[in-house]
Amino acid sequence: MAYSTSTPAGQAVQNILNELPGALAVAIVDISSGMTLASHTNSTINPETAAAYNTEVVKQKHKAMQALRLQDEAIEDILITLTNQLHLIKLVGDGKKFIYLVVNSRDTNLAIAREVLRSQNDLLK
Amino acid sequence: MGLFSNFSFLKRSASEPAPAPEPLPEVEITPVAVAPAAEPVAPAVEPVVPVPAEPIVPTPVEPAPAATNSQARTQAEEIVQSVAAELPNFIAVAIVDSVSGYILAGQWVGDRSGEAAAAVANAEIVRQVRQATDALQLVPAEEVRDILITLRQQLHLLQVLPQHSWLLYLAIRTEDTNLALARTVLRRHAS
Repeated sequence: MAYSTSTPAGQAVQNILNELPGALAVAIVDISSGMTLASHTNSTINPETAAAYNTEVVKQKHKAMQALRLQDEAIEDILITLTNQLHLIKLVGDGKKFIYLVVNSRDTNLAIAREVLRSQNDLLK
Repeated sequence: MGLFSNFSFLKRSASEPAPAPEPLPEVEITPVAVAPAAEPVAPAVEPVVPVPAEPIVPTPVEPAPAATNSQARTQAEEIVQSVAAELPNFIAVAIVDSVSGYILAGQWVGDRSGEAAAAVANAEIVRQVRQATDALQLVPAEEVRDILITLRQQLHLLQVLPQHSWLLYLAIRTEDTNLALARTVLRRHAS
């Protein structure tokens, strides 16, 4: 348990876990540093490691968008489908942070996971 | 090995290099070079600390040497045409070699000047996601199937085609399709 509910990030982690108790890992990540503001894991997944790598994924997509000169566009979320898991990266706070969520794809579908993350958007502005 | 050992398609390409991706032009092609192709991409010991991603400058790639793999190109072309026919409102459909970032076949609407650079960047995204899943040492081992990027008005989908180590890339406006439909079409080509 690497969070305190007295911070908005910690509160968001708590809210997500309340709604998705079977989540494998949750983290709120600062994109400029790649470090977690709050995190929790229910599995062997190390949220700090995942956060660091996924920050690079977000940056790389920004490069792809620059190459395409996509104006007035911004990343809303990135979903990675693995064999048995969904990894969801939802950008919040004007693209300065993201929520990282790992769920088992048998337990939680994409629509549910997205809805839960979306509901934390205001908290993390 | 180790790092990529859970990606069965890499193993397969190691044993039968025939349909392997088009090699990078600067790489000397020898039969030996094909087999351990996965290794130079992946550092042998992956530290848990994030490796700052090498600055992958999305420089425009030159077209892959045409003579090398015309059969693969034809096949890639067929997949692109089939997807384009099923999702006629697309912005871009392309087959990208996931190792080099080469565009093997593609169709675009409108300005396509940045497409080559974007293809390289997208291939890099998949590589980075694989690095992440490796670093996380997921048990049981997990393979990347697809990556979806939702923008404000567009969906970008990267479907891994394990049989070729290709990526099927689709960009489409969210108002023209829905995710479930786009995914269904792409997944049909992944098996």
